[in-house]
Amino acid sequence: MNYLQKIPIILDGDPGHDDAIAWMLAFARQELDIRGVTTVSGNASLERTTRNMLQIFTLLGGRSIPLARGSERPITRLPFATPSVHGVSGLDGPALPEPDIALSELSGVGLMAKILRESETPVTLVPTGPLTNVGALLLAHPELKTKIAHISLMGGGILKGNWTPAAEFNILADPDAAKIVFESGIPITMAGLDVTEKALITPADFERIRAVGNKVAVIVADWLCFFYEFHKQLGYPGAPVHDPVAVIALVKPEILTIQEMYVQVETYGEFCKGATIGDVYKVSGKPPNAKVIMDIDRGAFVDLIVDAVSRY
Amino acid sequence: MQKKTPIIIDCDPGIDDIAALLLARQIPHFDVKAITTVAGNVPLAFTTQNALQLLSFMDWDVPLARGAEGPLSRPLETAEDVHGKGGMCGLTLPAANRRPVDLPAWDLIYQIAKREGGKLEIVAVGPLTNIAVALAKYPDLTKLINRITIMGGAFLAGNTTPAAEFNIYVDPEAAKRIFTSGIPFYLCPLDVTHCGYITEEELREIGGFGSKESEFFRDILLKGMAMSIYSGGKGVPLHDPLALLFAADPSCFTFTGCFVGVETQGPVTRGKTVTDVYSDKKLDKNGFYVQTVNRDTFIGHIKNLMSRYTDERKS
Repeated sequence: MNYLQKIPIILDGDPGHDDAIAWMLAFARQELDIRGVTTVSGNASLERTTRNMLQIFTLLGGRSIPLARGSERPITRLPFATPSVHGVSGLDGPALPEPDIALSELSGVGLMAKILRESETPVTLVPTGPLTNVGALLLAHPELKTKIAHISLMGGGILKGNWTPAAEFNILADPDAAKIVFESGIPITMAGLDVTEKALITPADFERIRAVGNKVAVIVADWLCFFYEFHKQLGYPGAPVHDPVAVIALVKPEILTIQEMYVQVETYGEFCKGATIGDVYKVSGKPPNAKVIMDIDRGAFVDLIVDAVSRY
Repeated sequence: MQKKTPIIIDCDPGIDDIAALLLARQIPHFDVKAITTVAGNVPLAFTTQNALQLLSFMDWDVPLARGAEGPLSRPLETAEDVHGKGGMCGLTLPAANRRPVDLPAWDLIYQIAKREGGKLEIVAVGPLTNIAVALAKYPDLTKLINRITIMGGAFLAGNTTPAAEFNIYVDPEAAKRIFTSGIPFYLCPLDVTHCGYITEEELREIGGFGSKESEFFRDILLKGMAMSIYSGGKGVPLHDPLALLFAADPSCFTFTGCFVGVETQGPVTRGKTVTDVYSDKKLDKNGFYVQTVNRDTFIGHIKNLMSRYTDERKS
């Protein structure tokens, strides 16, 4: 394989401000070949995350990428209440262009399966929302597992939780799907809260991004301002921009600190439903199933976002 | 002069329990009213025998009561892989010259708590079964315990399962009873005890202090050197001594009031302790989490305490 060959990926998320910025970053990077994008309910209802996807790719100019509407509820559980972090639309803040792209007629899982089946080389999945689509794909198409090169996901946390003391939102929203993914045997990179809460973009950085001056730069700066307002109340010195870290794992892993470990997902419990449990001290005797990102060079992270918006 | 603090030490010796008991006798402002034993690192017959032999060895005249033979509602799981079959990694002490008192641990705890009129503190360094039974039997005990300092739990990762630390893993229901009791409690989890390690060099220094107690302190902790993997290979984590020394003097530690819970139902996370310190979601505070230790000061205190056996011999 030619080392200059692009990495084929499928983006899967619930935009969401940080999903939107992750997708902006992915679309700006030459190394990545976005074969498709799918939505899931999470930060907002499926209807809203899907409309947001269409608006985001209209803004970015990604007209030729197949976009599909994915799962509207978790695999086995009832739908959860959607959070208020991202506003009513799931992507509140700046006005976005009306969508001028049509949705694929396939379902999210259907589009993923088609892309995997038709790809000559295995494809990397980049889920940044609840793992429902990926879990459903693995259940419905076990024959395509070998066509998945790698899953680089945003979710979980070894030390940290956000939605509950023990659990991060994406995993908590569909723990059964997360369990399927972590037990799949597919190489996993996990961008959990341990790193993503260090992926802070501060108000000074917002202005650096805005100063790039193009339409995408200004909207990204506005998204960050909106996203920061919520986190400011919680005492954060900046906006923790979680989802782009899952993309950075593919394009610039050298700015990350990564620890390989065996990770399990708790699916039930009084306090720990949706917790990702990392075998830090190697007491299980199980081989690692995930590369867990624990830290990031924050300065290099911000530079990467500034560089990405300047490519539009 | 500072009034002495009445203390009960609830333990399951166990190598670091032994180290804690050796230190406890020398803490000047502790008035240790009783030692109570519980099944944990090894079965109750061994933890009790080990404690009795150690009290005889130290010639320490303190009542000892036997506690629970197993957790509240689960079969006992032990840690003989770490502590050896008898709980002292194959080391032996002379036969005990004393017997346990006739009361079970929970009755002795209550009796002393009542007598001390609300001043009693408990340092619990094994599974929390005895205290849970005491609270279940004596509803008014809650108001009679000033504070419980606990060695147990883990927030980053466990040592028995990836999720859980041994003491809490063994009897999570007992931990839940304590965490929800309303008694002020201070939890010293692996996150801090792994930072409170002692190096081989420091152990050898203490072993050379010239008392049989300091020699035994060295010998038993050298047996635990395999546990240094948890401290990045630097030394043996002093889990139980750390909780004891926190109770004696918190000045070389930092701690924070927070929510502490324990998972009793999750299949993967049995016995995992949970805190809201690291999450956006905040819950009502019910306890304290001992977060950091100044290791140099901590080890300094340990050397001072162990050197007192030498001074005792000289006088």
